[in-house]
Amino acid sequence: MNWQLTRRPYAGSISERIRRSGLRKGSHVIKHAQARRGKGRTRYLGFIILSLLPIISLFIIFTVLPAAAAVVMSLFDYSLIGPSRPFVGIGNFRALFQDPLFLKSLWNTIRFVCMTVPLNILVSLPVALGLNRIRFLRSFFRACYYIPTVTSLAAVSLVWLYLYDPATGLINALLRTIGLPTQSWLGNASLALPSIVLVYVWQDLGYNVVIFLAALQGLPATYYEAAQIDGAGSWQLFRYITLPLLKPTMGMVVILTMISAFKVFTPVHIMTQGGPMNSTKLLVYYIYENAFSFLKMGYASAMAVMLFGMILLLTLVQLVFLRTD
Amino acid sequence: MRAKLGHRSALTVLVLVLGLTLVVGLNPAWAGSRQVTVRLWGHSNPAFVAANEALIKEFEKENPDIRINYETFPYDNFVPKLQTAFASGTEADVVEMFGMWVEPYAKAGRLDAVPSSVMSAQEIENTYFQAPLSGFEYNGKYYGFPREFNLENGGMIVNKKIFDAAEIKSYPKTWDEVIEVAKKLTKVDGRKIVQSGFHFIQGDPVTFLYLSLILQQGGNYWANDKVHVKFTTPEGYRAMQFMVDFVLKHKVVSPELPKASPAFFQGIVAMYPRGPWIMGVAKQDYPQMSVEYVPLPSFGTTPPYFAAESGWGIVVSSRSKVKDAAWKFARFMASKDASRAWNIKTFTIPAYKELATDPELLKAMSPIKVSFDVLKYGRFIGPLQNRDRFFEIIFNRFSEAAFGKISSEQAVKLIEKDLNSMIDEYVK
Repeated sequence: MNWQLTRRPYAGSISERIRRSGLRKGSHVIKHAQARRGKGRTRYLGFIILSLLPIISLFIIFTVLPAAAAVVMSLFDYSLIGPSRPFVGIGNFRALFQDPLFLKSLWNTIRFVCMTVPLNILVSLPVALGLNRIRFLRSFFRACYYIPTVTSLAAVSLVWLYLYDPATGLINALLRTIGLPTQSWLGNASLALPSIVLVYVWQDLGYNVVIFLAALQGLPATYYEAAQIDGAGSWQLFRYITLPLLKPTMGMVVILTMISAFKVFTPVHIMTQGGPMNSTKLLVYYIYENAFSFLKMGYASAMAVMLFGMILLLTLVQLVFLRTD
Repeated sequence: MRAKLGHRSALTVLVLVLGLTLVVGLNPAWAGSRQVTVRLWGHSNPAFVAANEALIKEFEKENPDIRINYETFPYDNFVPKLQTAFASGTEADVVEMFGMWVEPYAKAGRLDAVPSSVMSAQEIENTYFQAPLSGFEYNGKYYGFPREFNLENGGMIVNKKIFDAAEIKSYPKTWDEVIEVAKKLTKVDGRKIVQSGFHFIQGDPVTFLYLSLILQQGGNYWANDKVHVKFTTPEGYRAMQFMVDFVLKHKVVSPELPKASPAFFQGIVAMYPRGPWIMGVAKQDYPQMSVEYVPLPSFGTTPPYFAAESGWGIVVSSRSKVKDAAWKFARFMASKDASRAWNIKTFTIPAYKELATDPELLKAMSPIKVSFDVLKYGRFIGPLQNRDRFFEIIFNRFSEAAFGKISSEQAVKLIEKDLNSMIDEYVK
């Protein structure tokens, strides 16, 4: 059935309908109609609030309140089991910049993000383009790329820990087979961080692939057809049509990958515990150490607030730069 | 009318019975025969769990009015779990706690001092070794009982297969021999070590070895105020240089190898200095490996002194509502018989003095007999303020020296500086 044929024509707004009816303002009929409309709106609002209440409550209890508590705790010399919790104002924030380990972990985190974000996009976009084109075993390949993403990062880290093992690991075994020198992937201070980056990108890849794939499938075919008629090649199609049309998606992917890279903890905790020589000590791992190993919850909260501020600032900057018309 | 009265009477009786049950149930004085439940928390080391479960059964049989609710947590989550639980008042009545963790909880009033009715301070001191007991002491009071003398020195585990393959019949008896044998047993592929003769590079072994080497030269690492550290001494420099030499001079180990424990159990390490409990791990998880536990020589002419940092023990929460039952259980778990059974099952050295010469225990633990011979040389490690940071600082500076980034002399100076800054953060 064609819905357009059966739809009732638009009768105009309520005020227009009142005007057309010839009824006087304040008449009993109008008052009754307005009251009914008011009741309906209240019910409608009530329904919306009721529907949103569970998720809003969860958000407030598990996100807003802890975040606010972290801000408050950052102003105190706070230990979970300490007998006293004196107010130190911005003392914790001042101490951060005199703490060489904080500065080292901040620098490590920046390096980690700078390696992770471009690498992730450089790999996930071509993979998405490939998956968008292939017809043969399409679902199988899509599942293959997405499996690491749904696997626990803890499990992934454990598996890679064995792969990286300098004595018995698969990677060094392959290097030995082809006559290349073996490496201490996690024991060498200059290799450990890139090794973790690789694990993280491998695990996180599928998520961005899915986002890019969804965006690619939404691009209008007419642009491509027109360009092909004009004689555009594959590279030109990608450079002048796909890439510009993917700009909003790219912006979102960059922001999401960056936020998630800033918060990375599990592979560090499982694979290196920040070593060797603090070369993989990332900010969130250092926050965890301070809160639970060093009994300095206030100081750890100050770091968490700093991290929040940094992510917020970078996200805003990126939003401005990646804004599309 | 009759029926109505009957219903009313029945209802009245029912209300009376329910009320009476509630009153009796809620009043502890009238609930004498009711079973008391004591919650126990521990970490999930399989040997510890098995040993504890057997003792709990025995305790419940002897005390039918007390039921023990035993919950365990993976070791990695145990510390945060305790901190958050003690902060929110949801901790168990009795907790299996490592001695070095006790002080901040005791200081915050979260733990109950051992009541004199349970055991007097004098009796505690006479019963347990000083080194493990010191971890449970705060402000002249004891806040629990040690069950283990945590020993990380005095011996090393050796891979017999590697010794046999090199046809080395006897184990080294001096440090010179350790170096000589380690060189023979080290294998190199190109410029990389693929089999280490003597591997100790891991957080705990590095720190314990360093502190013991200082003590064995007759030195000390605490400053005069007994709060700060003093490593910039001839003994401190010599000990650090000696350890770094294993990497840079003798080339028998590399910081690029996997950490000492996993490397040993991969079969690529000949000698690994570690506490005797490592034999328990070897027996349980690597039964196919041919290993032996042998003495580690003293560094100086003094006896093999070593730094000991308490050990696992048992404490009672100050907020427990069943303190009497909790202390009864804690006392039982740290008693001579229970300690013997627990130490044998967990392959740990007893904190209970008399057990060090107990024939039954010595027979059961003959593979680690060497550790019993050095127990008397244990010295309490001291007020570290924060155990994890203390160990991490020493390990990281040693690693920098071992990687050749700084000299061993610089490492010692930086260790002292970093540790004293850390101590100042906690001691205000």
